[in-house]
This record gives sequence, C-alpha cells and structure tokens, in this order.
Amino acid sequence: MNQDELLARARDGDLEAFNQLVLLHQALVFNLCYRLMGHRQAAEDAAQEAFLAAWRRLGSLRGQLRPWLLRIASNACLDEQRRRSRRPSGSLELALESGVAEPADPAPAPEAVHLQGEMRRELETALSRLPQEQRLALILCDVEGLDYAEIAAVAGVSLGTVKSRISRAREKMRGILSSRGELLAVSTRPDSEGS
Amino acid sequence: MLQWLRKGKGHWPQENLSAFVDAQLGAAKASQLTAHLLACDSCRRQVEDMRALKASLAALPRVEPTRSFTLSAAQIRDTRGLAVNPPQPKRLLLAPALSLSLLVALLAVDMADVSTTGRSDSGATAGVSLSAAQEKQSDAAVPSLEGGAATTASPPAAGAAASSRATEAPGDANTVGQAVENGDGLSLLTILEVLAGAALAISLAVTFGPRLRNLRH
Repeated sequence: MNQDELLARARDGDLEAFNQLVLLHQALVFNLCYRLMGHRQAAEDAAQEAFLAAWRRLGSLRGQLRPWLLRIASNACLDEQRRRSRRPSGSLELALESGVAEPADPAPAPEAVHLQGEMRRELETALSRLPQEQRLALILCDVEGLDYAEIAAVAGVSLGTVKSRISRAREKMRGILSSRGELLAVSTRPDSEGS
Repeated sequence: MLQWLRKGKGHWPQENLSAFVDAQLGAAKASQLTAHLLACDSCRRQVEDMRALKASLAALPRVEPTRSFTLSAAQIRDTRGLAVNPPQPKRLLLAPALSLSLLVALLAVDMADVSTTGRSDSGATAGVSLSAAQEKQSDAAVPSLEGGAATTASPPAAGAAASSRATEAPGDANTVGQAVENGDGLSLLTILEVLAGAALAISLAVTFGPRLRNLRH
C-alpha cells in the first residue's frame, strides 16, 4: 500500500494505516526535533506530541504530508521548549554548553559518525544559538537536505524568506565557529575528503 | 575568515552566494556567478566556506530514537477519557446542521405566524375588552408566551395576573387576545423551538468541544 492509500485510510480513521505513516516518517521527524532541541528526551517527547497532533488534525491536511508533518514537529518543539523552560533544569543551551545535552548518546551507528565528538558538539552548540526560525531553515536545508520550496512549506514563509534565513544563519554560524579558532577548518577536512 | 564578513564593491550579495551553494539560484544567475567566482577570490572564498559548513552539518550523525512513535488506542484518548476525534468531520457535522435547519424552519414558521397575527391586530380598534371566557382561555397562553417551561403554572394564579393586566393596560389585553387566537399551536411551536435550540447547542458542544480543547493544546 503506498503513502496516498495509507493517508486516505488514515483520514477515514484507520489508526493502523496512520501508524504505517508514522513508521515511514518517524526517523525524519525525530531527527528534526533532536537537532532543533539538542536533547534526546525532549526530542522524543516532542516527536510523540507531533504525531499525536498530526492524528488529531489529519482532517486539516492540505498538500504534501512530509512538510506538513515537519511543520507540526517544529511547532511541537517550540511547545516542548516552553514547557521545559518553565522548569529550572530545562535550559538546553546550558546543557549543550556543559556537554551533557546528549546524556544517553546511546549508539549512533559508527559508520554514520563523520565528526569527532568535540567538533560535533561545537556545531550543535552553534546551531542552538541561532534564532529559532534560522535554525529550522538551516537544519532542513543542510542537515535534512530539503530544497527551498519544501522548507518554505514547512516554515509557512516565502522562498525569498527561506533564502534570507539560510544566508543569515550561515553568517551567524560562521561568526560563532570562527571564534573557536581553527575548529571549523579542522572539522571540515574529513568531510571534504568524504564528499 | 574575516573575508566572510567583508562586503566589497562588485561582490555578489551573500544571499545569492548562499543560494548558489544550495543549487537554488537559477540557471542564468548561477552561470554568471560561476564566471564571477573565477575572478573574485573574496566571493570564491565565501562560497567555499559555506560549502564546508554545509558539508559539516550534513555529516552530523543521524540519531535513532529509543522508541517508536506509533500511536495506541489509549494514546488517542485525551486525559479526560474522551476519544480524540478521528478525522471524520462530515459525519460529525451532520447533527449540528440538522438541528440548525430545524430551528431556522421553526423560527420561520413562527415569524410568519406572528406577522399574520400582527396584521389582524393592526386592523382592530383600540380598547378591546376581554370576556370572561377569553380570560379563562388566556390563563394557559400567558405563561407559554413568557417562557415555554412555565406551562404548568396553576390556572387560578395565572388567570388573576392576566385579568389584572387586562384592566390596568389595554395594550396588554391585545397581547393576551393574540395568544388566545394562536392558542395551543403557538405554545407547541415555542416548545419545539426551545428543543431545537437545545439540540443545536448540544450537538455543537459534542462536535467542536474536543477540537477546541485540542487547539488549546
């Protein structure tokens, strides 16, 4: 059964069909949440909320499923961040700074790890310092590989705004990382070789 | 690295360099920029830096969740034990639509009835007095005009009230007379209107209540 058929059945209230769609998209949704929030547990909570919200609002879906799901996920991350910011221990930036943002870091597949731990943390810290809308655009573009049109659909903005946000995000990332000396140059060396 | 922030004369806007890195610039502009990069160290350096950053971010490891996010029947019930609406808007909208249609139809009949009665009243002369028989008939009609739920009021008490109004204000006597003309038919209509209104309110609450609650979440 393809995605359109699953979607049609899910719209008719078929939970099993909806769960098939969840399985197809959960890695993407979770990784977006993780990159937006920088914390595994928070990302899992946000992803779960996102799929629950998607089920509830399936009747309002117009257009493509993927950008719609990612939009719900980014909103769920904002909600989750607000919830956690009300708690004393909820500062994700502090967690990233202290290097405990990924306490479990259970086992990313070894073949997928292209950056040293310290370099990766620097990139994640720099990402966490971007304004939310720039972070979302840059993650969708550079981490998830979406094109501008799909990013515009996720963020609910024009193509020009996407272009501007990505450009400003890169400039800001550069500013943050350049203050860390040669880190970026070192971190990019293996990627240039690998790509 | 400082070249990144420098914006010299003749250099391309950073937004365009960024879009070029993402292959989102458009063929004509991309071609022009490619030619420009051969001659401009500053822009070329910026493009290279952006590409390096893009590659670094793309190389961030994928993270596997520790659990699946598939939903169970229990999860799709909200914390108050109400079933969260599965996406079936058409069926759920049927009840409010029917209730509203019924209410509108009853109101239309009611208004047509009142306007007919109004015309007959305007043709009548002032100072209509009620006979004893009419007074007795009006006992049941007065409460129904003032509120359908009061139809069980005791006839003697209502009769006294009606007769006192009839003697004090001739205008009220007209109203009572109108009620007498309409008799039980108007009472039934009013009751039906109230019932249709209640049905509309209940169906709206059942249909949209959970959705509004979900929106708040």
